Amino acid sequence: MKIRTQKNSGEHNPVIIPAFLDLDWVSKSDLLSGKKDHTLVLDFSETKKIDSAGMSFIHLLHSLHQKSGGKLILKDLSPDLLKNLQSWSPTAAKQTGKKKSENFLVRTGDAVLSFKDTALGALSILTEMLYWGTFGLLEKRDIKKGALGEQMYQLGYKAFGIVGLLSLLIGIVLALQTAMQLRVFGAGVFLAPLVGITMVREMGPLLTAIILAGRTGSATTAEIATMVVGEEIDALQTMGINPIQFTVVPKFWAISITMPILSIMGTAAGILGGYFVALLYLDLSSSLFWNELGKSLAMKDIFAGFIKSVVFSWLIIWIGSFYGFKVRGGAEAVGKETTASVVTGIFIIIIADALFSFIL
Amino acid sequence: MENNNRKPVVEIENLVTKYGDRVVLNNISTSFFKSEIRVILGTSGCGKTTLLKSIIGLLKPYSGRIRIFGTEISDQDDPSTLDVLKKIGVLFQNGALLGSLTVQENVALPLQMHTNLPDSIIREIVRLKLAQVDLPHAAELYPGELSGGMRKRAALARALALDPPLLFCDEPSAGLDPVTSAGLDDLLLKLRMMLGITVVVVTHELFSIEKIADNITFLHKGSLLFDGPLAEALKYKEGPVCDFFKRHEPDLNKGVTCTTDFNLEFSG
Repeated sequence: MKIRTQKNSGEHNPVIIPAFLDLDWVSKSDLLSGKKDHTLVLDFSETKKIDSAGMSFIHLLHSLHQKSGGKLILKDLSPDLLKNLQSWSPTAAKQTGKKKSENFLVRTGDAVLSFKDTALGALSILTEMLYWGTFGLLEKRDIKKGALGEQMYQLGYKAFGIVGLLSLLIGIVLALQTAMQLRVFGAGVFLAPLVGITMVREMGPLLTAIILAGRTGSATTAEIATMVVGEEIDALQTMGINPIQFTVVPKFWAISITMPILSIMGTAAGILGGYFVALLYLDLSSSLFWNELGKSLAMKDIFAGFIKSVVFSWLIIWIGSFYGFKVRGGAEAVGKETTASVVTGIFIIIIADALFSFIL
Repeated sequence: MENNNRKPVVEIENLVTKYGDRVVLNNISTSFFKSEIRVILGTSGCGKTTLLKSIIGLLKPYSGRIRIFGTEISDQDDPSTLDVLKKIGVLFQNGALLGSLTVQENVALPLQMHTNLPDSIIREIVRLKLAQVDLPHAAELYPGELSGGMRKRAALARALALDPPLLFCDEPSAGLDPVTSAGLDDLLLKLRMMLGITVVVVTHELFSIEKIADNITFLHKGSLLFDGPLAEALKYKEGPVCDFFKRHEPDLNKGVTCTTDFNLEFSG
């Protein structure tokens, strides 16, 4: 592409370019708007200097005219300015990025392929976590001494207070709302089985899982993602240390052990909340509440709650780790993946809970 | 260098590495030999770090072969690969120390994972390694509490924990002041002299190259342009190799005149 220059041409009405073609002049100019299928003459006879905005302006005008079949004539442009203009061409930079097609089928195909990659990545992390956490331990044990205890303390013990308190409050709210209706019908005695079964089968494991998805899931993603970004995972690999065993497996076992305990504790706290409501709002006796609770709870309810809590714990660590290893980029990406991890974690846990309602 | 008489420690044959569809390394073939300090150099974006990552198994080659100590690097958990990984140390550009562990715990990590040594011996080795890198007082500190130079030296101590016969360093001088950078170069020379290890350094710092390099591997736009002694590279009178040395360090090239220059074209 060549810039056409002209000396002292009087054929067209030239646009006089100022002594300094700068950002201010360019931003006020309306030359870029409208059709470009005609000949435009820019008169540079007074121009001494052109800044980056000015150069880009000329290049853009030139390419717009070229596309529309028009012509751009640069009149009386000094050789120095022409040289600068040719050396600082923005179009000389190579276009490296792929041009996105607007075609619906292509976009759908891209989305399907991207989903496939994500699903495969997630499955790969799941299988690696399960393998290196069980049979793989017979092959090698790249786990730091004391890591399990440390993780149990971090993931389990430190969540004890928040899980207990929230479960107690949810138990109270649940019982209070129900008790108001039951009292109308004189059926306050049914509060114990209602709170008991709800907490044991549903709310205990679910509430604990949601709290841990926010707490442990985010911490897992942030920790692993930071390690990925800081090349710590690469360093582990080059030291012959399995990153999944080193980072994920201690968390996997720690949460597998502590989550059922937390879930039992949360369930107990919720029932205790219901007990307070029965005692203080419905004026039920203690013995009646516990008797009714004992009669209504079956082993399968307790089993269902236990199974749920274990599966939820695996989901939390799986999703947390997956998003951690998926990170690409810097600090911003770590934040994004952590948010995605928590949202996906809670979403998947609720879906799994719905599925369990049919199975167990 | 009498490379022909020595067995290569690293052999690279027709290596092609891609990021997606983009070829980053194009048909690279070279060998690194025992006890040499090999510097991989070139301008930014030429594929130096990609070559290093390909060699140490962090990037899977699109085609070609890489052998370290005669073993092809495959899956990280493969026993033969694991044996090779135990024989190499890697100093990453930013140190890549585990942020949750103290310096001494970082250095002890490879020893704890790959040996059955009692804790008392491991503690002693860690002290020795930290003394080697002149960092005896930082043992209890966390990586976040260290300066850039200290972090690199701590990472070097970790890379040397298992006394690897092969050490890779990715831009060891990057972000360091000239004094600290020169200190790190001295340390690499000392380690080579004392332990006879092979050191592969990725850098574009000419002061470092001049000081430590036995041989250089010069990359340009993903291709291998020169592979041999530094003195030979300095004889180039034109082309990217000449441009690199002349533009970076005039003193190193007194009397050398390059005939090429940037060729900027106006095109659209």
